Amino acid sequence: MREATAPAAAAAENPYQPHRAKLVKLEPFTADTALLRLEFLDRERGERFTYRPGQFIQVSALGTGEAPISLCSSPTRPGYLEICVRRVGRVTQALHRLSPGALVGVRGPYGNGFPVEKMRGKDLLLIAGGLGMAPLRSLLWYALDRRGDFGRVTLLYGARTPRDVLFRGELQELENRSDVRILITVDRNEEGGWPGRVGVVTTLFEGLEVDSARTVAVICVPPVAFKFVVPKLLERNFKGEQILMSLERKMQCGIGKCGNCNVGSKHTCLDGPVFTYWDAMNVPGMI
Amino acid sequence: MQTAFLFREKLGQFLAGLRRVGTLLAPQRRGKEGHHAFSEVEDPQEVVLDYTRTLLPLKKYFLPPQDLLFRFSVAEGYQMAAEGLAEKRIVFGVHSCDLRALQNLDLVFLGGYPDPYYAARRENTLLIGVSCTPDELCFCASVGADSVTEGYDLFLTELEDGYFVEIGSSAGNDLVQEQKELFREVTDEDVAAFKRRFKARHQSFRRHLETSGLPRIMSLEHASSIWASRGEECLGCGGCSMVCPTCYCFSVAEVPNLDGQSGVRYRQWDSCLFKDYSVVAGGHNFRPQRGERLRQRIFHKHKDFPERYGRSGCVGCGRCIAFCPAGLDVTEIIRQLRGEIIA
Amino acid sequence: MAKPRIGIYGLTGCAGDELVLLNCEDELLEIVAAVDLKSFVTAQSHPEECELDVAFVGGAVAQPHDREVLLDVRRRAGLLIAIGTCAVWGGVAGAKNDQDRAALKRLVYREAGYPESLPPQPLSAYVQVDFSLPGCPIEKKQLLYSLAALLHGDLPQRIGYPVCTECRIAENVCLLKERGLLCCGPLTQGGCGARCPSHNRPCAGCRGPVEEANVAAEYRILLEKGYGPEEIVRRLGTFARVPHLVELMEKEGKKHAQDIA
Ligand SMILES: Cc1cc2nc3c(=O)[nH]c(=O)nc-3n(C[C@H](O)[C@H](O)[C@H](O)COP(=O)(O)OP(=O)(O)OC[C@H]3O[C@@H](n4cnc5c(N)ncnc54)[C@H](O)[C@@H]3O)c2cc1C
Ligand code: SF4
Ligand code: SF4
Ligand code: SF4
Ligand code: SF4
Ligand code: SF4
Ligand code: FES
Repeated sequence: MREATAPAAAAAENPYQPHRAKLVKLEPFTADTALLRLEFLDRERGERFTYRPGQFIQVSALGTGEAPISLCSSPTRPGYLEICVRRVGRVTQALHRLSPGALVGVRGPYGNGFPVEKMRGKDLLLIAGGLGMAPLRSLLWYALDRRGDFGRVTLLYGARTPRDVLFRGELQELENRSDVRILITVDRNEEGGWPGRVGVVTTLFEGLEVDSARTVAVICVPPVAFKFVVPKLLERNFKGEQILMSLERKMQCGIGKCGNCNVGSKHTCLDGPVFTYWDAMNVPGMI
Repeated sequence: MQTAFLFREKLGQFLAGLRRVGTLLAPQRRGKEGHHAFSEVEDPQEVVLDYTRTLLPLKKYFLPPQDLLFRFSVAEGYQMAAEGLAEKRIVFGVHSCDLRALQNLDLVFLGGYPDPYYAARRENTLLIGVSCTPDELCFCASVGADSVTEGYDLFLTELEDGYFVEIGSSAGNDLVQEQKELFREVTDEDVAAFKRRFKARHQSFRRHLETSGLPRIMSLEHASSIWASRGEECLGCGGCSMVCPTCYCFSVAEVPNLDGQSGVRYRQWDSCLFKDYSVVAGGHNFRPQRGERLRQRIFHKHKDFPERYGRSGCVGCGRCIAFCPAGLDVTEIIRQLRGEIIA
Repeated sequence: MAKPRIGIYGLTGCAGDELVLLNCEDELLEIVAAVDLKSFVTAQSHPEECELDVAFVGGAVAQPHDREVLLDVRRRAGLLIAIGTCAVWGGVAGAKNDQDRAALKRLVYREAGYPESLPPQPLSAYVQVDFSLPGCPIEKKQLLYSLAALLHGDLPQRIGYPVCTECRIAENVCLLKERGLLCCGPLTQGGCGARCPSHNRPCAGCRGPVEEANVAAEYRILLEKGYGPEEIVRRLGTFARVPHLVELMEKEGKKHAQDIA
């Protein structure tokens, strides 16, 4: 007879196991979005935890459930993880209720992330809309911390109103740096007081110089916005493979089992969330 | 291939012997007019060998409809719920389509990040296959699931005076050795009878699904109006996914206790036919129309799963046809897509 | 943390849903310990009508008084949870809402008359409802889960699948497909574990429609099985006569009549 598998051994490598992490900081950004800084209780696990920009973790709010959230910190600054969470439902609300010192569950990192090795030596054109700024903040930091590895770095970021601009202070500081271009726009400026541009994110393309031949474009925008942003790149002769997009899908497992995130034969959680526009052209329903 | 021959009149004794090895599960009738269902065997006499299809397939033993994953508490965090995983079980009377389907689930749950719940149950369960006679809904032969050469511990093919037993694993061999008085060696005559039986079965398939080039044709028919029109017929009941041996989608739910300090996390069967399946934050639904959901199901079986895992995502068991309250029939929809019939 | 202040109210209905709570014998002490029960008229003699964190309201709005109570509770409550099919969908009492009210009153109360009645409506016809627990009566398991979730600070998770899903999991014979019976399972919100089909009785739809119920398809299936249009509409609308669903059935009826003509 075969030996019964020891459950203890199975538990040790249970990929669904949330690991305890402490909320060390919760910084409200906007009315519904906050930055959470997490540290694993198990120090060793924290040290082993490496990731690449564009990957996500599954975050558990004990008693409420789990949600996939992009890491917005950068692996170039180890020791802690940061996520930027928008309050939209059960889990995200529960995360917002926590106070520093509280424990959450974390597993991951999951997903392919941005192909940073392949992006070396290239110009980067980052295009963020709304919460899409979170994964791109990770990539932005990564690129700035390894500045020599990349050519020109440009961020185009569109938020709904001035109050919705995430990482505002941090981005404003970067505006003064000469080795990165930061262009921010807001859809509406009804309350006034916004000194910058007003208009949707695509208006930032006006007069923008890019050398498409040596640039990788990275798009993180809400699902409905892809069809406005992509043509702007195609007009500038970007090829499908040069356009990277981070997609959102419903996820339950994060590890290719539950099926919920499937698009064609791809699992967004394993093969994505970063896909190229060429993938999207060939997989109907991707964007 | 090791073989043996089990005397017909010794079957009951063999089953009784299996109960000493572990929990014995086999097809039995549920009530006088009920369906056949795999369930625990109390009396070997109740085991049915000539059933057509059970309502739920084997997956219920490896990926239960509701599967406890963790217990949690504020003090301890999430603790894996491992009870029952080490239970020794023997499933007797499995058809080749269902064995084949389990191999599909293996690809999903044992590959990549192995799923410890599934893996432990799989590891601790022996499978004994049995030959079957196709009815008008079976099309396993069209998708290569009418015959299996692996994925079982024993496989019994019914002949006139007993069962031709193929031994698929050393654990299966142990089962034979432990009760070797019930078996004899296979003769040339048995082999000839086995071949006759196999041929007769092969000729008895009445339903056929043409699979050649299917993924390519489907990819061209992604925008077909067939989806919207057939989708209107679908009740969205998810029944097809529940009964399908190769459907594995699940959602995860957290249930706190009244104390607010503890509770459980479990997973439960989900279906791409449900409206909520593809809804993300903000209410955006990637498959808002019924037709798009029906398309997802058929695409997953016949294009997406094959592209990802290199084998058909459907084993032709006929369950989704037999049990769909709306009378939807995947083989008919595919013929429509191929332009073979006009609805 | 202060215990959440809870109120439990019954409008026009049988109070069956409140009884489900009282019948949670094993858990009742735990519940009472976890909440600050301010008002529960069915079980308590000295209610305190104050600000509430969560109000559970059962029954339909069928009298002006119901409406007043409901509006008052809504004003005072952080979250308002509809319990029972009457509160969620109008329930059996609303099944005749398409008929003339005055004539109905004459029929029911004869000469005795009746103060004032409104066409029975779900709570959502008057106020915002934060979460709905349907069922006639509600399921104890779902109630306990919902209470626990609320105590934990979360809205409970909705059930998005129909009774059939649970019926298949229970490995029941399909009464609609295999016996030709008028079963509302495909259209009805799951959560009861397919209680009726598991006892060989078709689902009567007591939990009200599941989201995006495909009533047109079921209507057509039933016509093809030989049921008459009125019977189908009546049976599918017994517990929840939802105007737009009735419309869908009528539209399908016309289409079907054309198809066979
Ligand atoms: C790869 C990836 C990365 C992500 N990164 C981030 C990130 O960095 N930051 C972030 O904030 N989010 C991110 N998300 C999104 C995040 O995962 C979701 O917002 C989160 O899962 C929502 O979970 P919840 O429990 O809070 O909401 P749920 O309660 O599960 O609700 C989710 C959504 O479902 C819908 N819904 C729920 N209930 C109903 C109902 N009754 N009727 C109709 N619709 C309903 C609503 O639209 C709701 O917003 C990411 C997602 C993915 C896939
Ligand atoms: S069983 Fe039939 S009606 Fe139900 S979801 Fe599947 S295809 Fe639709
Ligand atoms: S799709 Fe239908 S025929 Fe194919 S394996 Fe699933 S239930 Fe069986
Ligand atoms: S995607 Fe649909 S067809 Fe595929 S396994 Fe999941 S429920 Fe089944
Ligand atoms: S008996 Fe009713 S509830 Fe059960 S599957 Fe059939 S239609 Fe659905
Ligand atoms: S099966 Fe239908 S009628 Fe019976 S309890 Fe469930 S929802 Fe109500
Ligand atoms: S999230 Fe489960 S398969 Fe991708």
